[in-house]
Amino acid sequence: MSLVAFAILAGLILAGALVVVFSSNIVRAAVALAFTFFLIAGLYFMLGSPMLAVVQFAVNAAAIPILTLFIIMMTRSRSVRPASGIFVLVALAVVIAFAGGLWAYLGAAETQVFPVSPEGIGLRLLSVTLFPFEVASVLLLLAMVGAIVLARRVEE
Amino acid sequence: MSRMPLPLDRHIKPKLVGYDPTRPRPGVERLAYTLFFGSLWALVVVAYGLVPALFRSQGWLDGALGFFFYAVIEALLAFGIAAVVALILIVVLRKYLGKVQERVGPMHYGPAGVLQTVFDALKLLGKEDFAPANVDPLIFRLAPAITFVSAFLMLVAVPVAGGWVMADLNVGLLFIVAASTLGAYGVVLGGLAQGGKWGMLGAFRAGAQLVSYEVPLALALLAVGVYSGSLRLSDIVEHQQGLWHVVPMFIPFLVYLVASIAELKSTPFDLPEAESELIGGFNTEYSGMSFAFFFLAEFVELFLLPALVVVLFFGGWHGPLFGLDPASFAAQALQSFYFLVKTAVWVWIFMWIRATLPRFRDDQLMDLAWKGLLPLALFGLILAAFLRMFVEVV
Amino acid sequence: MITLGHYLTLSAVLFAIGLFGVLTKRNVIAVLMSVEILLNAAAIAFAATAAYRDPLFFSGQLFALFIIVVAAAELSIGFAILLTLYRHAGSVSTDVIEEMRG
Repeated sequence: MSLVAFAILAGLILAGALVVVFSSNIVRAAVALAFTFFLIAGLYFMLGSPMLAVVQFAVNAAAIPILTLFIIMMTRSRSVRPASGIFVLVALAVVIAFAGGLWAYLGAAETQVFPVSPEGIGLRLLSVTLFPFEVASVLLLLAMVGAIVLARRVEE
Repeated sequence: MSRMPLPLDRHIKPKLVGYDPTRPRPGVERLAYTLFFGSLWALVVVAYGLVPALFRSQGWLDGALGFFFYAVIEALLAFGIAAVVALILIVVLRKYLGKVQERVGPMHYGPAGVLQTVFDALKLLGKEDFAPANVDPLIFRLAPAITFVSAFLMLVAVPVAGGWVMADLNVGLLFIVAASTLGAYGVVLGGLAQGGKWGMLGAFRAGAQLVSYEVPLALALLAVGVYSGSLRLSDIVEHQQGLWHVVPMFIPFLVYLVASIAELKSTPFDLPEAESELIGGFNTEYSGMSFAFFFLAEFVELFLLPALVVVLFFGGWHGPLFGLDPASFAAQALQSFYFLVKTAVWVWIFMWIRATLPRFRDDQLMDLAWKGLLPLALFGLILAAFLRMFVEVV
Repeated sequence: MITLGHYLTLSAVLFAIGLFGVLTKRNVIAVLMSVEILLNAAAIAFAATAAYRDPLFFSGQLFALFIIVVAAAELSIGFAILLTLYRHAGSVSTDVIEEMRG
């Protein structure tokens, strides 16, 4: 039952990612990106972490593709050149080899998922990983200021 | 209000000599609104109370098939609630805007015009769903669906009474933030897909506005989460047992109020669809069912954002229970009644703001979000943390 | 039953797809979208490993959270640079960046 759900979810995620990479219409690619990230949030739900799922939903599935669409509008780009044929073959070979190697490995045969509560994540985040947490907040602030400085029109 | 002269080509002829369809009939209107409210309450009681109780008492929820049918029935009932809410709010809003602007509003369909929305819906269903030649058909059809799904997802997380909620997520508050961000897609994609200038400008404005106001909105919600010590919406309502959050959380409340009206894209913030500037902006080229979905989503949000004001700041379902056991069915039905009454009051306040304020200019809009609301929301968050510490110490 | 291997395989395939996009795309927006896929593939691997193997500390899930944060920061800076590039060269193709070679 849950394996079927996982297979459907994984298939749709991969299909979405393939559309992002192979679509020649960039608006559709951005929508497919949002779709893929939305389904990845579903994957996190299956992994027993609703907190991570909702953060993925809010940031990656909702905010980031909106930003992408905004930039697509501002730069008036509509289509991208599709990848050339030989590249496609090489890439598919790489993917298959990679996945095959992993299937062969499959030493990771654990079946038990340990769910995580939002409280648990919050407590860990503000105790053990407090320093990375603060660094991440500084990084976000720097990114915000940097983005404003870079995108601002310089007065002639 | 003085009587208006009747146009000669009216397609509904007065049935009796001296009968005037534009005569205000407040009694009929009041009765109709009471019936609307009652039907909505009945639907809520069925969807949140009777159906889950039935499934639980019969033990149908244990099997996968039973759970599947339960989910399908609940989804259909939620859709029914959304549709009824939209049917009611559209006619109420039009009547109310008419009153504010000293018009009579819709008067012709049904007694005193209260069935106007039903006929509107029939008209939209009968119209051709037209798409211009240069649109991207996939994205063009997807946009209204995404907008509606975003409103629908929010409906699922809202608790209406003690134990009456469709999905009691332990991260409900973040889920609300995420679902409301999703609403920006519909607008941006809808404007982008139609390939016209109005749609493009509308999409630009909508994107900038919705993303900007999402930030103070999320911070205001998180302040409530910090103060009540839980992200679960029903826990937040329980936390307001003694004192409603509007008193200690007054600053986040103000921020939430302004930001949610901006999320709603209603009048002081209606730049994305400004009819006098952009001919409707992102929904310029939409017609028929696609347009109906945009419209439906807008009015479901006009119900849900005030409902969240009630859940987060005005005690949700809390009210006098007259000695009933809070776990009993009657008490829960009464609680859902309180919830709906409070929501109705807040819907009216939202409509009032919509009816009376003029539209912002683009730069004023951004100034308000980044220079006004954002610092206020951050201050509210810090205040919430201090109050929480104080509450825990005492 | 779903094992950790399933998640890791999915993550690996997703990573390969993203890598392919990064290498072949000419439009910088498309490249940045592919980078997002790469980062998400890594986050899946971290979160899955934590969920199966780290019941006490779930460090991998925290790492996935940090990946989301860093991805958001990276994207905002990337788009700001893209916007200046567009103003400067009138295009968002990687061919334009080539002209900056000294």
